[in-house]
Amino acid sequence: MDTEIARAAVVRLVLALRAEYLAAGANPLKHWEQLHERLRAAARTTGTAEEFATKLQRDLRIATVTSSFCSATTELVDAVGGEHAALLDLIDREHGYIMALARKAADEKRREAQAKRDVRAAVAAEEGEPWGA
Amino acid sequence: MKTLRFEFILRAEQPICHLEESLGNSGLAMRRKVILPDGRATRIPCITADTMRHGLRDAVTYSYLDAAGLLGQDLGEEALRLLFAGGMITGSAGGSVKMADYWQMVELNPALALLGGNAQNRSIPGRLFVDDSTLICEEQMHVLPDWVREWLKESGVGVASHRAYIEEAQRVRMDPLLDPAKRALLLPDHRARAEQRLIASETAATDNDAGATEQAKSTMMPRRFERLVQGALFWWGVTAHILSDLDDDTFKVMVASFLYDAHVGGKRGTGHGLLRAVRGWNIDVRRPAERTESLDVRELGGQIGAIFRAHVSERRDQIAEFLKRVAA
Repeated sequence: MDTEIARAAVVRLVLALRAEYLAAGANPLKHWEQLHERLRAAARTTGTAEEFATKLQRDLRIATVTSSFCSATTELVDAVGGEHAALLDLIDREHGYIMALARKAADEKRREAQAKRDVRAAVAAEEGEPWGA
Repeated sequence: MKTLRFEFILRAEQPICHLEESLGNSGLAMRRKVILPDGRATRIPCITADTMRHGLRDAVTYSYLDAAGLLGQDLGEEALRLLFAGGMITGSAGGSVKMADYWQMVELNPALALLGGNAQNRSIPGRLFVDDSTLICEEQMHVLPDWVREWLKESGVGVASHRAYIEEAQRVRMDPLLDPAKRALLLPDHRARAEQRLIASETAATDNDAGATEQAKSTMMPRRFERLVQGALFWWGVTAHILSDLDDDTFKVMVASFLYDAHVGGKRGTGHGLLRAVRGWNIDVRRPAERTESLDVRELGGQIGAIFRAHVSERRDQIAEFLKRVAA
């Protein structure tokens, strides 16, 4: 198992679950804390990558799965290549770092989206159109 | 002097909730770091030697007090601390115990001689060596003794990764104010306050106001904890340096009385913690060779304790006197 690839796959899974968790009505003030807690618990109490992803989904009470969750899960299982214990030990040891990577990626995505909105607003202002028209 | 060692296979008859720490509302199971034969490090659940040792001390102390006729309201705080927790060093204010007093102390409490402790401002070294209870799992097969591996094979017991033996449970502390029948028991002003809070909570949820929801939330508290699953097996050993027949009998009383009703960890009030010995192994260490024999754990309690009980019973008055004046 390539540690970098596996770690990146876990981060993608966390981000996919986060989007679904928030869409399902999770408390925005506490969702990172919940995700972190559930990530750590799933790593400590499951035996395979498949079980890990399923427990995360169940613990976050996500009833239906989106395509991003599906592709993140299958990518993770592929990245593990059967070395389940190595993956779960990695998450157990590095859950703080993994959550930091996930949060950083989410912040970057948010900044990028904001920058795009700013550009659109600036262009609209130059062209004399009301923003969003 | 001889060295006597007992080893057991213990089975969790109930889930075991033995925690190392809590994070938020989550309790994390006790684990220890282990380097596997392939060099990889992992953390495997265990029951600590401290827990097992405390169980031994607790069990033998009840047997001791029973034999001395002191199971009524006879103990001072210091005596209780000495007997059930090994006592503590009381500082420079307390005088150090003289050797004659020390000899009297271990004469009056033969279990103290084995377990050690702190009394009369003196640290008493023990002669009892207790192991962690090692979870029998795939990752620890290489550390198990041959007799355990053979028993597993003969019994057809399959062994899985340590992760298969741990689960996460959730329990909820309910808020009685959410139950209309219970709210009806409240004083009028208290009921009005509770109902105002429920309305505020509903409004906050409708308005999707996370801050207000947090403020108006009930005291219902979900909490999670990791636990070792029912049916998990452990390998556990305890060794003692034996100086006399009394030591020998005391050691056996200690082990037998603990295993008769061994509970470890927390949540005992809600169906957790019971361990049962399913197989025992008696090792009489006689260097350079070791004599080993299988031990029928069901018989352990029946054949022992006569010397220990007679010794304690004969000295009951001196013991009562000693426990009154002990500083621990």
